Amino acid sequence: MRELTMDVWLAQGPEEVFAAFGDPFRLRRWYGAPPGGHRTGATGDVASGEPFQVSLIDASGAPVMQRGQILSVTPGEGLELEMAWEGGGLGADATRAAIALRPAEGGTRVEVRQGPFSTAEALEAHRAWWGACLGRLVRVAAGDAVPCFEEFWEESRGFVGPLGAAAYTVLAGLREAGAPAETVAQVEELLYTHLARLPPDTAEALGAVLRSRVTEAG
Amino acid sequence: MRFQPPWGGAFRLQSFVHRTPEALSPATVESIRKAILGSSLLGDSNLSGQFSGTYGFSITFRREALSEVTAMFPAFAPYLDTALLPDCDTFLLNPLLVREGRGVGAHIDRSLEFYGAGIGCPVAVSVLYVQVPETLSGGELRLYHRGNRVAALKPVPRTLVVFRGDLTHEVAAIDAGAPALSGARISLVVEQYRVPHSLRAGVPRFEVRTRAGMA
Repeated sequence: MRELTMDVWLAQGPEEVFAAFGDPFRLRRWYGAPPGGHRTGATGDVASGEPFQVSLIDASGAPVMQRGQILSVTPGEGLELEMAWEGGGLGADATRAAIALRPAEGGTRVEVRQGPFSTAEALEAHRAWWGACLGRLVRVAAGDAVPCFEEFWEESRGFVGPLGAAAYTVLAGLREAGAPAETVAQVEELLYTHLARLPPDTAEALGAVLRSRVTEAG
Repeated sequence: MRFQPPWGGAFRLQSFVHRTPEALSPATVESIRKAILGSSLLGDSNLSGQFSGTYGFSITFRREALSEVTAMFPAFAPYLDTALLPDCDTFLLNPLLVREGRGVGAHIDRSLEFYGAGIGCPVAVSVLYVQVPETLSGGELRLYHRGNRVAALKPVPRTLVVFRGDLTHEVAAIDAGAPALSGARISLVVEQYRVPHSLRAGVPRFEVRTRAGMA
């Protein structure tokens, strides 16, 4: 049986790093998404120790599910959890992971130990997965606005159809690029006013073009 | 198919909540209050763990079953007439009673995930404040967008609040003023969904649920 160990150093202290575990807004920006993939949602009350599920898509867009449960938490020092996967090439092993936050060189060393893995392939797949997660954790702990599919996905739910999705992408893109709020609002009004005047058959044709272009690009 | 403004035109990308004072008449709200407190369905909340210690029941229905809902709960009809957004197709109606010492933990509504993963969050959530004790301390509704608080709303009787369904929200713990269930902070919540076509078959046309199961 094999065990994975890896670590990463962060410039922030353990309490500050731990906040990125306890705050669900920050947690979902770093935890879960596999390399090239995205986190699409989660259910279960992680903090209470209930079983949780994290819904993901891999780099090809295929659904992946992580099921897990927090086993113990020591605020500011770390936690233990168990996890198993459906899909995603991370193997069928049910494993336990311990994440320790240790003060080091003025910051925090985050150490991960996980196992047992029945194959080297599963271990290496988890190394890649943790690498992606911890890479985002470094950025989240530093205060970066790490893009989060789950946030955009939830926000875009209010928009209808392919033209709605296109309008959302433009508007959210402007906002994320730092456009002033009044500029975003002006563009928004412009889009809604004019797109609403499109004849239905033109709107349908443009929607079909958008779908085809997105499919082609995928 | 015409282009439709998002959120049924109710919100913009940078707006999150609307509040309508005195949305319904005192007599209408009083009949809603009596219907909730007098319902045999009332019990421990059947919603997620964040609702622990609160009371209520939930009614899932598709738009085509609206007349059946109002036949069973006639007092709720004026509220549903006012609150339902035209481009939503499925709803979860939930009387929520919160007593002293309790609140509702931060969450995004995903109640219909019970019927199928992928339904996700609602388009919008409407809340009518049915009973707010005069001496109530605490119990404000706090709304967060991507981690930033965008509103903190003190409950006001007869006020209708509508907020975007992608917002995380919580009800602050009630410190004082609502010791008994009959004197609780009472709201009538309706989560408004647009369920993806591929998942509609999994959602019942009309279903009442309590902690004990289907009623």
